[in-house]
Amino acid sequence: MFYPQLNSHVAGTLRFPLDDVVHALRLFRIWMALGWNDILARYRRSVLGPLWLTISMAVTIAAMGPLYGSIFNIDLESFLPHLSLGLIAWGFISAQLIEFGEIFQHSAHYLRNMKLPLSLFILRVQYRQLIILAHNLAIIPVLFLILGRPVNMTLLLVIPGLILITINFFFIGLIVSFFCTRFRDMQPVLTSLMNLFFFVTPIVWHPDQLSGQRRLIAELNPLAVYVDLIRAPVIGQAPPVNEWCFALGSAVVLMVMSVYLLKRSGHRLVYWL
Amino acid sequence: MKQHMNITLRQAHIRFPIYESDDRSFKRTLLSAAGGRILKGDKHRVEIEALNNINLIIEQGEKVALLGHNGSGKTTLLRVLAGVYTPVSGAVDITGRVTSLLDSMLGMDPELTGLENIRMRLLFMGKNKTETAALTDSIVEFSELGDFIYMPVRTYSSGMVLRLAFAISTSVTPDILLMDEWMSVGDEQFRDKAEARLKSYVDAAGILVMATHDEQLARRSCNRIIRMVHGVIEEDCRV
Repeated sequence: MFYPQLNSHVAGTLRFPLDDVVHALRLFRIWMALGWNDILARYRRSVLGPLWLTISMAVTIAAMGPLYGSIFNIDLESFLPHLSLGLIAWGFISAQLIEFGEIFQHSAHYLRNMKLPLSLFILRVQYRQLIILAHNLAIIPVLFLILGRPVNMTLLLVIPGLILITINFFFIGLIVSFFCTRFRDMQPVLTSLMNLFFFVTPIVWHPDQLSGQRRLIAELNPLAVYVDLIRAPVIGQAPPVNEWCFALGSAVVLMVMSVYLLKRSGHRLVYWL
Repeated sequence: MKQHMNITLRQAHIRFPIYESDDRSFKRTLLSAAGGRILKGDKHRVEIEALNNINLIIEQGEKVALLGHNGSGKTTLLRVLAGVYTPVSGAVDITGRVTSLLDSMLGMDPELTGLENIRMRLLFMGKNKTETAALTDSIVEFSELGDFIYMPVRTYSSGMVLRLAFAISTSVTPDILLMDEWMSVGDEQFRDKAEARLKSYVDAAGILVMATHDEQLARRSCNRIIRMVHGVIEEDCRV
């Protein structure tokens, strides 16, 4: 199979990570086609197709909302937007993480056949998850209409938030996918970690419900920051400055780590498959 | 005018690390990093030498047959030429666009229909929508799949997968074509057709490297024969 010409990759130099990412970005038509095919493949032969994404999320929200609302004794008008946006943002974040863990094994038949930038497969996962996110977000206008809830201009902050999260998760994707390909028992660890984090991240509950030191659970949890950067603007609150700073800082740190990883082990990855 | 193409390997070594299931575990690495006892094989990871000191120059217009027993390193060498495996030491320099037909699914997604696979593969080849549309008809015709082109590839026989993959890969004249044992699957009639197409393609001055067991085929369609034994080039002759 032919691939658009890659400059001969010199292993172990800084050019390798740079070439890899730039090349992957240029091949956007490939990862967009792969990502979209992934969605279609999952819903092949089903009548409603990708609409099932929207439906199953709506069902989850409709079932969990009244239940947890009454457990916590919060009025549904403020709890439902918090819960549904939390679930949607969490789905976006956790599904990316879990899929990063197995992406190279799933793409082995491409990787063993031709030279392709490794980042291309990270972008494939991200594009797929962005499509799913878009399907899920379609619930929100309907929900807000039912609740008669107004939206304000802070909604626009969701755009820089999403961009920042996508950049962060691109680098996280490189790190997690390398790690899980090299160490095969990391995938189940990752999956159970995600299950745990679902409960310690303020999705079903609200950080205000915790008092004193316990509040730290919400504040020191990096995933909570990412969730909040998506959720808060839509609810109508600007995310606090420290959350923006954290996300910017983590992007830089993760970038340095993943560049190092690509430089060190990028050319070895195919041997691990 | 086509750009000059060439393949050069200098003292290339390929070693495969063999990870036992326990060696692959993170616990083990963590323990040894933390100063735990050094277990056998920690210092000397088990490795298989797949290619040993390969020196090879292939020039434009050469049709190379790789002969050798199973496990002699034919496929590994093809993967090095495809840019998949980077040698642990030595240098590989490849000029030209590479097309490879290496594994049994030949880069196809079994869930997609033949037509969707054509689109996908052409996308990987860097073709845009109009070029794809122009090429699709001739691919469908050459592959002789008829209405099967609308069926998922998983319903195809291995011969049909091969026909489709071959038709796609040779629809655009590649600079360098790498093939692995492909002829054995096709039927007689398609084999002749494919050989004819290959001939016209190589006459247009490309490079062909194919791994095969079929000595007859090698002599018929290639002008250089390389014999491999245990990851070493044993014999290299032009015919």
